[in-house]
Amino acid sequence: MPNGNISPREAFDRVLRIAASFSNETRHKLAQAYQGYLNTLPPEHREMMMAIMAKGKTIVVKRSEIPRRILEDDEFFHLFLQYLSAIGAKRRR
Amino acid sequence: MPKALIIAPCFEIATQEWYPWLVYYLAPQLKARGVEPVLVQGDKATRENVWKLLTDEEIRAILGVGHGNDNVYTGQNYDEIFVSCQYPSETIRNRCFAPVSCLVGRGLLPDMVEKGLGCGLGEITVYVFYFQPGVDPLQDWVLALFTKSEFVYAISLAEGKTSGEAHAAMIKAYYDAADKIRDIDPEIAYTLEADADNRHHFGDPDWKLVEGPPPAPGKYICPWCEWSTDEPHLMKDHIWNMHIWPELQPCWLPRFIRKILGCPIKR
Repeated sequence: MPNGNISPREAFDRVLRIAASFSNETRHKLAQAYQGYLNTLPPEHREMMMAIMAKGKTIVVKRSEIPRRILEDDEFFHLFLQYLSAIGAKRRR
Repeated sequence: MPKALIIAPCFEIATQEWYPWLVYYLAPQLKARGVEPVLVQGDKATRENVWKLLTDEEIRAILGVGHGNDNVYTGQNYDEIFVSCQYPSETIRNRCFAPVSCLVGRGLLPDMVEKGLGCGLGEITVYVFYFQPGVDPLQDWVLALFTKSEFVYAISLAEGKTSGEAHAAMIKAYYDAADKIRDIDPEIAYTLEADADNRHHFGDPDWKLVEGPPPAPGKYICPWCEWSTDEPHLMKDHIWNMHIWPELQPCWLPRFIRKILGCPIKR
């Protein structure tokens, strides 16, 4: 037991817990933040559709439904995160 | 007269939104500049038809829209038109290949360049755009930010610019479009910029679609953008679609007046 205080199993369980809480926390925060962003937009912009042409198919979602999809749709959440990460990386440069 | 093949599938939401822009905007714009558009529309946008048409040596550019993956570009109902290493190199040799299709910049475009492609554009990531539900795509000002920016590449080629110059003009158009909407909706602005940044150029930047000076302008010249044509009805459509309707789009006109004018009304 290299650490002395904690077993490998406990240590890995901790990794899993952090991963799970990070994911849930991120999803909730992201959904809330995006809803906050939508609230700043003119109403007609909230009803616009977002189309992501990804790997041979189109994922289309009404912007007002994005917060719900972030929380409920794993595939969309990961795609949306990738998309935000791509445009966010540029923004940070 | 050089020809440009425009692959216009129309079977799901992304292709349905882009289809009218390819057929009713890009094709006439190319024609007005002396490039003959060859359209493969809807069910005809298949590998069999595209490859058959590409035996015509006058076709120098392959444009349009479709779905893709790192090594695949598809047409109607996901019919695989080009797959890396699985097409005759004659179909792309010394030509330009630049349809909107996600991810093809990762594998298919480099493969095509290796097989003799003149030049091309390809996304290295997903392509994202926005549109308004229930609005005629040609009258959708938010979709127009994407389509009109994108088509600057093909139109610039038709005007005699090199592929590198046309690509730079297209990037600038995306960024200019982003500036128009940045204060109201920064998400769309960043998306326009990301789409531009991820649409990479491949092949020879000095490749040209038309040699020599651009053709003489048509009989009728648009007073706003210098677009020209010999057909009066095309000019009327152009002025209405490109200059009048986008100005009315903020919807300050009462609904019944817009209806009388024939403007599309949101459902």
